[in-house]
This record gives sequence, structure tokens and C-alpha cells, in this order.
Amino acid sequence: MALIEIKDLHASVDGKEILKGVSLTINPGEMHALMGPNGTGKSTLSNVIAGRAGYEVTSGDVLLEGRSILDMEPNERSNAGVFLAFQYPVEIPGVATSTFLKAAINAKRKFAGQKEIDAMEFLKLVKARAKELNVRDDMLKRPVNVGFSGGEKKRAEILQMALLEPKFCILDETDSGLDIDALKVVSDGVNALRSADRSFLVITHYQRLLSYIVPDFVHVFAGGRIVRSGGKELAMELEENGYAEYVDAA
Amino acid sequence: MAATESTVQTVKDIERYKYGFETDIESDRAPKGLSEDTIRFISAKKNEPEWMLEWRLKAYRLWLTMEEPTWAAVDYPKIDYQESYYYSAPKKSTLKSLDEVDPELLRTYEKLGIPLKEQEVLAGVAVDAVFDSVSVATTYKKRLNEMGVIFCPISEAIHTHPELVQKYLASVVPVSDNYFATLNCAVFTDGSFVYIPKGLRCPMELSTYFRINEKNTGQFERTLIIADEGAYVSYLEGCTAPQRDENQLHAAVVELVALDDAEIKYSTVQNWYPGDENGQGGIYNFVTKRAACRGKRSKVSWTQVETGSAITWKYPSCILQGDNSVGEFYSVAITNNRQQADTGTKMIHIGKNTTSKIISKGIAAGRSDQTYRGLVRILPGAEGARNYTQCDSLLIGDACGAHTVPYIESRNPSAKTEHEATASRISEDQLFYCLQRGIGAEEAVGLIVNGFCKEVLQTLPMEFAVEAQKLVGISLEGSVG
Amino acid sequence: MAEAVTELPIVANARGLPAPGGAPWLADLRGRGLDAFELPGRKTEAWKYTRIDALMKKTAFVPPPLIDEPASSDIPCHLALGAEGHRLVLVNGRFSPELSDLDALPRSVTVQSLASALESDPQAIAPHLGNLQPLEGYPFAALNTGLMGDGLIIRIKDGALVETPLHVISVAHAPGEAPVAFHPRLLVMVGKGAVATLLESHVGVDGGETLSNGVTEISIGADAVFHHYKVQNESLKATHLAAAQVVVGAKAVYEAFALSFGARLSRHDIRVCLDGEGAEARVNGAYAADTGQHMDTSSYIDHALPHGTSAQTYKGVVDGSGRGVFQGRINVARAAQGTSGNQLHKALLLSNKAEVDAKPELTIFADDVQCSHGATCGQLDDDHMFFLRARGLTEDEARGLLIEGFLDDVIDLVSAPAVQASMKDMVHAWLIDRSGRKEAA
Repeated sequence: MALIEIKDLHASVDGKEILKGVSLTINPGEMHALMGPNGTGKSTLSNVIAGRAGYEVTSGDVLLEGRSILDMEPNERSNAGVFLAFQYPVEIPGVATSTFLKAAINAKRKFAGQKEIDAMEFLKLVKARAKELNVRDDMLKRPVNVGFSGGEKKRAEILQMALLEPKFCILDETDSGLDIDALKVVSDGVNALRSADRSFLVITHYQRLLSYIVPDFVHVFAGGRIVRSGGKELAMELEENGYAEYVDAA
Repeated sequence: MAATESTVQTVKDIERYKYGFETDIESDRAPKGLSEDTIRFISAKKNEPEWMLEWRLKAYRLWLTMEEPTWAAVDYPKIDYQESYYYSAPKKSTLKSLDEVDPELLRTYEKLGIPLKEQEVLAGVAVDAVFDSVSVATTYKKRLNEMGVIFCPISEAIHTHPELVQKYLASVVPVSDNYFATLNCAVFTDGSFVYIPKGLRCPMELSTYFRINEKNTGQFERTLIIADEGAYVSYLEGCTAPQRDENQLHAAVVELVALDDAEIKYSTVQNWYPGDENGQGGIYNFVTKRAACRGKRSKVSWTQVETGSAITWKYPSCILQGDNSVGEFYSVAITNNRQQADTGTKMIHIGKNTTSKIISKGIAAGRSDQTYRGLVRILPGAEGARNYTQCDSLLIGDACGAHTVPYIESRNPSAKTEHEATASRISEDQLFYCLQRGIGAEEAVGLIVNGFCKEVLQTLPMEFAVEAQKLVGISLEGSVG
Repeated sequence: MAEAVTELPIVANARGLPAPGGAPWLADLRGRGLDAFELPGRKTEAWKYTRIDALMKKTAFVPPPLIDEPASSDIPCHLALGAEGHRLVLVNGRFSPELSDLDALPRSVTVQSLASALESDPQAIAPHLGNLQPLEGYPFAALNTGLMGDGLIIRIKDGALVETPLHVISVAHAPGEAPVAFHPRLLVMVGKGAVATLLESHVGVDGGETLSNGVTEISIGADAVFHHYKVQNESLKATHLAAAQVVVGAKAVYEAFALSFGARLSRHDIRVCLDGEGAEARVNGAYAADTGQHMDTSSYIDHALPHGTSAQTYKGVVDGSGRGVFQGRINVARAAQGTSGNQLHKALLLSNKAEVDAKPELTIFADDVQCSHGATCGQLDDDHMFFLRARGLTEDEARGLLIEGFLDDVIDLVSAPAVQASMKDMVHAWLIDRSGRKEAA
């Protein structure tokens, strides 16, 4: 069975249609890249899948393991296994990152009918994952994303992903604003999480991220829908020729 | 908007009042209403010396000439002072030891989470429990006595330490200070008295729990804390009351005196019954709290978590007389439903190089109204004085109000004052971010509000921080990592 | 209370004098004005820091005599804004056609004196006069309403683009012994989509005591952009009370700057109501008060409808025994979701006898808001002073430079370059005067 199935999805914001019939099937273990010019609705797609308020789905459906998720609250979708790495991670003053992580892990455990994680186990788990991602311990004590550099924010997103072990991960322009070193760390983190039953949708404007995270499929997104799909060679072609023909086509 | 609705619901749930039970206990009451006879009755009940009775009567006569203040942003029907009882005590109230405490009373305090049996008491906290008009139990008294600390009901201190009481009572809040303080002078019934001797860092947290139980009864407690030269004390205060349809009056006076190099940390978790969703019932909380930083390098720090009462009218203040003295005010105020709170502080800089810091966090929800009202006054002699003020308000739902009314008066060019205030709501972005990580709306609001208040909550002593956390309905920061 | 007020010389002396216009509505309006006037005292919260009752009780203010108009050459033009403009001169609140210059006025603008409008066609202004200015809570605006006789009515047509500013020069002038009081009234109606600039210069001719008690009512139509720059440079024998009421329509912009150097006592009350969706107000100002001066700025921004934006920055320098007062309130009504309102007041205290009192206030009844206020008070930075001294400046020069920088920084918010330059010149002139005064002392 497909892990994620997006069926002819239409969605609008303030009455203006942004998604104009998106269809996409992602099987377990697959890495998909969604590429396209800015302002064509790529982030809208990720927000609609994650259930952000303010988007109206006018028709179509999104299925996770065969079940529609459109009627679920954002936290229910998260607990069901959908993870969104934000393009702009949000700052929450006063709330220590570790407290936030613990709340998220426990929410997921509660949903799965497990007991809360104990403090020692939690510390061990977080510290181990943090080390892999080059996240310093003091970052865990600082308030969520407050005063983090661009690279730190993105690494913190991947750390959350690693801890929550989702089935389906959306990376929304995770490469934006990263230098080469940070890009490598983030990509290594993502690659380490690739597994036979976990799938990814990587949204990006540039091909550069895809040299580190090699996709199985590449889709070109323009004018609110997927206009072309292919293998990883398509990304190279886009890098070469740009999006002009797709912008015109849309 | 769904997120906002869930936020509003969350706050509703958080605010359910858990201390609304009443205790069925036999009590001894003064006749209803207020007159010179009521005051004589109270004074006689307390077996007070003549000077104390005279002092009360003088205050009462002055009070008769005063008018109830109207400047605060609170709205309530006129209080009929003749409709209240001014003295109510559990019948078995003269105790030699804790073993004699009415078991019903002990159970009440247990329900409140305050065990009065010393072996069960939180290590390192001495408790004075005030039930309606009298102090019913004080723990660890003996151990404290041995160190020279006086911690007893003020009614007792009037007999045992009249010289200290006469020297300091009304020396910070004058009898004529304001309508409610003057009323308190006339009718106060009990409260705590603390004296920390020279050079002693009191090793225990001292704590008083106030409980209004009796119907139609006002509570008028009086607290006086003196930290002698070089002394330190941390004092905690908690308050609850049963759920009743009528309003009850609480008009307390708290005076703190810090001499040279002394430090007093005063923390309050105020959780009087706030009334129901429609504004029926609840405590009218009109309180005068003031500290005199008399000595050089003395320091007073007020921390308050205000979640209860139908109406709060309260401005814990510092008079910074001693050179290099320090005043601090940390406040979290949460109002919901029909609650009204007008609260803040006054920092009066008199001495040289005095510094003050004000951190106020207000959270308004439901149909409540909340005002921060604060005064920072720098007098001409306050060379090098510093003040920093930060007031933030969080609004939850579109039917509440949050207001900031600071007064900043500077009369010394070398002094520096800084004031910042903001008002906003919980951001949809923050809420969505938490939800996306699987955290439910209720918990997400708790987390965000906790983060918003963190700077204040972390100034509370650990024992109280736990209670405050329950009250705010949030998991406490710093417990992990 | 009201009866005692009628005994005040300023009221008693003005009564019984012929006032222009006999329309019943006007008599009614004036009557309501006088009825609403209550002398603010110790317990009047809005006048907590500015006590005026003693002055009003002891000074026998009289209405200005009709004669004695100063010659054009007597008017201290150097104290007025230097920017180019259509000149509209009021002497003691009366419009002076001789001293004014309206020749180049574009057809999209009409200017009329209030006195002539009240005589010739009072019905035409009946719906507008007093329409914006509340009487309750504004005692001196109420007094103005009761005693007003002249002033200006300015109409700017829909869509007009008025390039040259209108410049109202208000001259206070008491040639005789008696202290003179006058109550000018400005009514400005800016049409939809219009763009225009109003300059106000308040100056005094040397002489006796004066009291200028003005009210300005400005309505700004949707999508209009209106700039309003004011300089108050009256003599040290003057009392300057001014209330401005501004209503800003949907998506319209109101930009104001008030600069004060003059008068013994001044109070600048400005209230802006953002009365249309997406309305914007930028209200800024600066003041410099020295010995014997008391300067009060009280602003009130009322966000009545959604998506309004307001920004305020005020800076003050207080020297000698001067006193500065700032009261600023941002109110966000229940309906005004999506509001952004910010305010900042910064004061420099330069002497041991100076005093600054600030009361910035937020009253908020909507939840989707981003509002803030800030207030600071202090002296010049020691490090900055030392740096300048180390570069060879005298203490006085160093202080002057830093004070100038402090005030120029907020004057940079003025969007009209000519006005900005003129205001900076005035700051410079004030500083030169200041060091002259210091040397003399």
C-alpha cells in the first residue's frame, strides 16, 4: 500500500485557489523531491498536508496508509506519523528546547498507549541524537529556536524528526540559508533516517540539496500542480535550464 | 479560528477552582457589622493590651471619615460594610501543641496540600495556618526560637514582643495610608509576625496559608516581617477560600522592614475563589503590601502569582531609603471569566544608587479585565538610581482586556529609567508549530504560557514553584535537561 | 464647580462680548462648551502632572482688543518654520487677511476665516464644527468651544494634490498691560485620496502675558495622505494650550510632528482616531524645556477599526528647572483586530533641578494585536562625552553635539525634507541660545 496518496488536491487561501489538482503517490521508503519556482504553492502543499489553519481544501484528498487525514487536527496528523520540517522554524520564548522535545515525545507515546518517557532515558536519547547532528547540549537548554542561527534552527528541526521517528517527513526548503558544512550535517541527518518504511518529500528550489540527499523521484511543481515527474536526472536538467518553460506553461 | 477557540477552552479548563469545598466546623463569631463595639469585641477576644485597642479605635474613627478609592480599573457593587462579620474563629482555637488541632481542620489543610503535622511537613518549610480570623497552627516554632527567629501569629507577638510590634507596626504603611489599610488597622484579627535576628540567614522557608471558610466573613490579616541587619528570610504566602455565591472581602496589610544588608524574599500564590463563569461570587482582594528598604544594601523581592479573586487591588511596593538598596517585583497575573485585576507596584527611589526591577506578565482570558499599574519615582537625592521595567500582556480570546498604566517620575539626571511594555496574543505560528510536533492544543497553550511567565516563575522557591505550576496548568521549566 | 468656573477671569471677562454668528445651534454649542468646562485640579488624572488651576485663578486674562494688530515686520518670522507655504496669519486667534498671502492657493483648496463663515453661512459649517472634539475630558477644548470666535476653515477637495504646504502662523500679542487670552479654532477637512501638508507655527511678539487656547479638528478622508507639522515657539510669558482631534479614514495616512521650544507652560493634546480599516498614524515630536518652562505632550491614539497602524516617537530634553511631561495612550477597541500600535518616549535630563514625568498607557480590548510602548529617562552617556572630549571638544560643545544628535534623530522622522531641515536649524538655534544662557549665568 502507498504510504501517502495525494488525490487531485485543490486548496485555497482567502478564496484564492493555490493548489489546482495535485496528485502524488509515495511508497514506503521512497525519497521524493518537489522542485519549482518560488510562489507556486509548494509550501501551501506542505501546510495543507500538516493541517495548518487558514487553508481550505475545496476538493481531493490526502491519504496516509489508506486513511484520509484531512479531518484530523494537526497534532493528530503528527501522532499518526506526519512530520513537517519548517521553512521558518518558530521561536517560543521561555520554553527550553528540552522541555519542548519531551512534551512532543510524550504526546506521541501517549497516543501510542505507551507510558511517559522517564527523565534519564529521555536525556540519554536526546543527547545521543543531538551529538549525531552536531547539536550542542547548551542548545537544548535554550528556548525553542530563540537566538538560534539559521543552521542551528535547521539542525534542531532534523533533531526533532529523529526523535519523533515519523513515517512521512516533509522538508520544506530545509536547505535555504545553509552553508555547505551545515548542508552536509543536515543531509547526513536525513540520510541516516532513511529506511524501508519511512518516506520523504523534500521541497526545494535548488538542485544543490539533492547532491547530498539523492531522490528516487523528482517532480516539477508549477502553477499549483505537478507538471512533470522523472528520476534524479530531472533535477540536473532543471539546474541546467531553469524553470522558465514551466512558469510559462503554467 | 480553531486554534484560538481551543486556546480559550484550555484556559477555561486550567482555571477550574479546586479549593472550593468548605469545612463544617464550629465557630465563634462576632456580631454582624462594624462598629466600635465590634472592634472592642475583637480586641477583647485577643485579650489585647489597652494601647492596641486605642490604636484600633483611632484607626476606625479615621476610616469613618475616608472614602473608598475609585481610581482603579475595577467595577463592583458598593460594599455594605455592615453586612459582613469581622471575627470568626474555630471554637477550639487556643492550642498548646499541634496535637490539639481539630482533626477536621487538619483534614482541610491536607486537602489543600498543606500538611500541618511536623513529621509530614515539607522539609525546610515552617507553616503558619490562618483559618478565617485566627492562626490555628504554627509549625517548627521551637526550632526557629532556638535560632532567635520569631515566627508566630501577630496576635501572640502583641503580647510576647510588644516593643517590636509597637516600633514597627504601621511604620511602613501608615494607619492613614488608604481606605482598606485603615480598615485593616481597625479590625485585623491575625496574621504572621516574623523577626529575623542580626546576621542570621533563616535556614527554613517561612510560610503562611490563609483560608477563608466562614460565610459572610471578611478576612483582615496583618503581616509584619522584620529582617535585622544582615539577616535573610524567604517567606511564602498562599490563600484559598470556598466557593460561595456572595462576595467576601479580604483586606490585608503586609509590612516588611529590611535593615542594613538584610534581604527579604516574599512570595505569594494568591488563589482565592475567583467566582464562577458569570462573575457570581468570589473574593474582593484589596491588599496593601509595602516594604521599607531602610538599611544600606538591603533588598526586598516580591514575587506574586495571582490567579484567584473576583477583584484584585494590590500593589506590593518598595521604599528604597537605604543607599544601594534593591527592590524587585515579579508578577504573573492570570484573569479569566469575569475576574478583574488591577495590580502592579511602586518603587520609590530615595537613597543613592538604589535599583529596582519590575517584571510583570499578565494573561487575560474570557471576559476578564486586567491592568498593570505601576509607579517608579526617582527623588532628587537618588543619585545613580536605576529602574528597569518590563510589562507584557497576553490576550486570549477577543472579549478580554489588558491594560498597562505606568507612571514614571524622574527628578535626578544621573538616574536612569527604562520601561518596556508589550501586548499581543499567543501566535498562531507558535501554536501550529507545537501541534505539528504532536503536542495537543491544551498542552501547547500551557507550554507557551509557561514560557511567557518563566522569568517570574523561576524566582519562586521550589516548593511554591510546583504549586504555581499546577495553578498555571503547565509543566515547569528546568525539570529536565 | 461649574459656577465657580464662570467666576474665572478668563470666562467672566469674555462673557457679554459680541461673538460672531447668531445661529441657535452655535449658541447651543458654545453653551455646552462652557457647561463642560471644569478647571482641572489636583484630582484630575489627565492633568496630574500639569497644574494650571493656580495660573487660571490668579491671572486676569482678557479677550484681545480689536486694534493693535502688529506690523508685518514685527512678526518674528525667524521663529516660524522656514519652509515655503501659503501663508495664513492669525493674530491673537483672528484671521488677518493683510498679513496672509493666499494668492497662489490652488483651486482644490478653499480657506475661509471662521468668523466670516459664521457671519455669512453658518449652516454650511454646522455639521462640522465641534463634530470631532469631545468636550468631556478636554476642559480647555470645552472652554475654546464656549468662547471661540475666529480661526480657519480649510477644505481640501477629493483627490487634490496640494504641493505647497499651507502655513498657519499664529501670533500671540499682548501690547498692553492686561494678559490676553484667545481661543483659535481650526477646522480642516481633507477629501478622499487628497495629499496635502499643513504647517503650524506659533510665535509671540514681545509684550505681556498671553494664553493661546487652540483647538484643531482634522478629518481625513479615505486613502488621503495628510502631513501636519507644528512648531511652538512662543515667548516665555506665554501659556500655550492646544488640542488636536484627528479622524483618519480607511487606508488614509496621518503624519504629524510637533516641536516645542517656547512658552512658560505648554500642553499639546493630540488625539487621533483610526476610524477606517487600514488607517495609519505616525505621530512624533520633540521638545526642549529650560528653566521656567513646563512642557506637556499628551497623546491618545484610538484604534477603532481593524488593521490600523500607529507609530509614535517622542524625545525631550529638559534643562535647568524645566519640566517635561509625556502622557501617551494607545487604545485598541474590541473591533480593532489586526492592530499594530507602538510608542516610545525618551527623555534627557540635563540638570539636578529638572524633572520628567512619563505615563505611557496601553488599554487593549482586542486580542489580535501587536502593541508596545517604551519610556526611558537618563542623562548623556559618559562614554560619548569622554570620546568627544578626547577629540578636543569643550564640555559644553560636547554636550551640545550630543543633545543635537538626540533631537535630530527623531526629527529625521519628518518626511518633508524642507520642514526637517528647518526644524533641525531650530534645534541648533536653541542650543546656541542655551550655551549663551549658561555663559550669562
